[in-house]
Amino acid sequence: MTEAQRAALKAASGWYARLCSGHGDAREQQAWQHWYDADELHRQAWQQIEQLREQLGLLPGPIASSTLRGVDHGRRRLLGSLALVGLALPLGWFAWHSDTRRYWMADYRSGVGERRQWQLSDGSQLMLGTASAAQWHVDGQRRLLRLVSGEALIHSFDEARPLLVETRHGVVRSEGARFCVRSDEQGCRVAVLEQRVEVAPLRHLQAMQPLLAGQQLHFAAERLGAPRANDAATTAWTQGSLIALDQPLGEVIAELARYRHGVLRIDPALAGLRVSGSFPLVDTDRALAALEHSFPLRVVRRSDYWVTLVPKV
Amino acid sequence: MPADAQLLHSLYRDHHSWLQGWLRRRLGNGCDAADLAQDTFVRLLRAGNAASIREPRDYLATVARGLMVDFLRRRSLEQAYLDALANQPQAEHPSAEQQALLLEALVEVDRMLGGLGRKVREVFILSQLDGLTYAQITARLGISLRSVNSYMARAVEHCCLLQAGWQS
Repeated sequence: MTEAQRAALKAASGWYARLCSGHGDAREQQAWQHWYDADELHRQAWQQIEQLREQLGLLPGPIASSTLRGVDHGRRRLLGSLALVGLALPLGWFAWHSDTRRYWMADYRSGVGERRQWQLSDGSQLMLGTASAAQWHVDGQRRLLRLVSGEALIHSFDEARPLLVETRHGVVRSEGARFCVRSDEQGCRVAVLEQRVEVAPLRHLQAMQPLLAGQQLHFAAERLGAPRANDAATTAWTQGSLIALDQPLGEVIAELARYRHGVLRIDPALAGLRVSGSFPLVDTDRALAALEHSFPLRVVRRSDYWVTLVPKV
Repeated sequence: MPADAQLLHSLYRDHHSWLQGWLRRRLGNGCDAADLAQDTFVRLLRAGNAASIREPRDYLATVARGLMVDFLRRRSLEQAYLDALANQPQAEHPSAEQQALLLEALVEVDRMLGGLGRKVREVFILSQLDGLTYAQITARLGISLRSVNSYMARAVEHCCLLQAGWQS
């Protein structure tokens, strides 16, 4: 920034301050116009002011002002009160909130019950399952897909730079593989459909483990599970259905709940029932009706957002 | 692997879990620590200066501390925002997406106002966000019209400098 630019910005700020007083008159307006017309540098400086105005214009006045006023943060105070902050706040609340933010700020995302597909900038294909979000970064050496939440089917375009899928539990490295990754609070599941990937949990990144086509494994930050074979259920979501193979009903319901807004509960007495079948994910009400039909249970709706499964008496 | 990538890889391998532990002790929360540790390495990746780092742990801790301050700032801003929202009628609450975008914009403005004194900041907020005239501001804060005018000019200049990236 040159001296002249700096001076022009100072003058522009002075002008803006005067024009904001709320008591300006036509003469002042004219004087400003005169200043504005006089020099290209003045016009450039005013451009900055306009940009600032535009940014402020995005904020709803009253909420914005009380937020900015309510927040108090000296750097030292922030760092000093860290331990306190951790203890005083409702546990998990902020983790949830920052997750929500990450979700909305992600490059790619899908809503509850949605399945969406994109082509990434390197030619790779990405499909996101229900309530999922991912960020994408490419540079000269690597391609990085950060799975913020939910599940993804990735068909990585085969090229020299590895494609890394990163979750909060670890990393999956691939070159031309087609594979699914699902991440939640407990851990992460990877299933390879074509070619091979390498997997490493966050705490042991140096120990990349190969995983071959037709295999899946579960891992958490601390450790890697044992590989086992994929089955029909593994990729059913990519086709819009949920397949249960002799699974506890509790698990099936937990899975269906991911595709619905609101609360879906099950009476503990029912949770252990073994279920096999294929259920449509686009219409979970139909899936619930199917369960009601074949099991001794009743679907009780307090509202569309509050559904409970109870034993039939 | 190119040399820089190799270097970054070994930095990650040797120091990632140390960094995460360091963050966890300070934040008291494993998930946030994991996210910030990742952010630290992404920052490093984007800076592309892995080769010039002499004391990796000092360097990582410095970067991580900066991110942690941003994170906590954002967190207290979120809290203030929710408090402000709680005072609004339910019907006027923005959607989750609007809220997230709004928070981003607020974080940005808050960052710009960060380096200003309390009075200067308050004058700016009263004028630009609450829409008060200078006469109203002098009455409210008990300062002269001349001060209001010069505080405003200072705040606007400061924000523009940051916005244009001429000053960090």
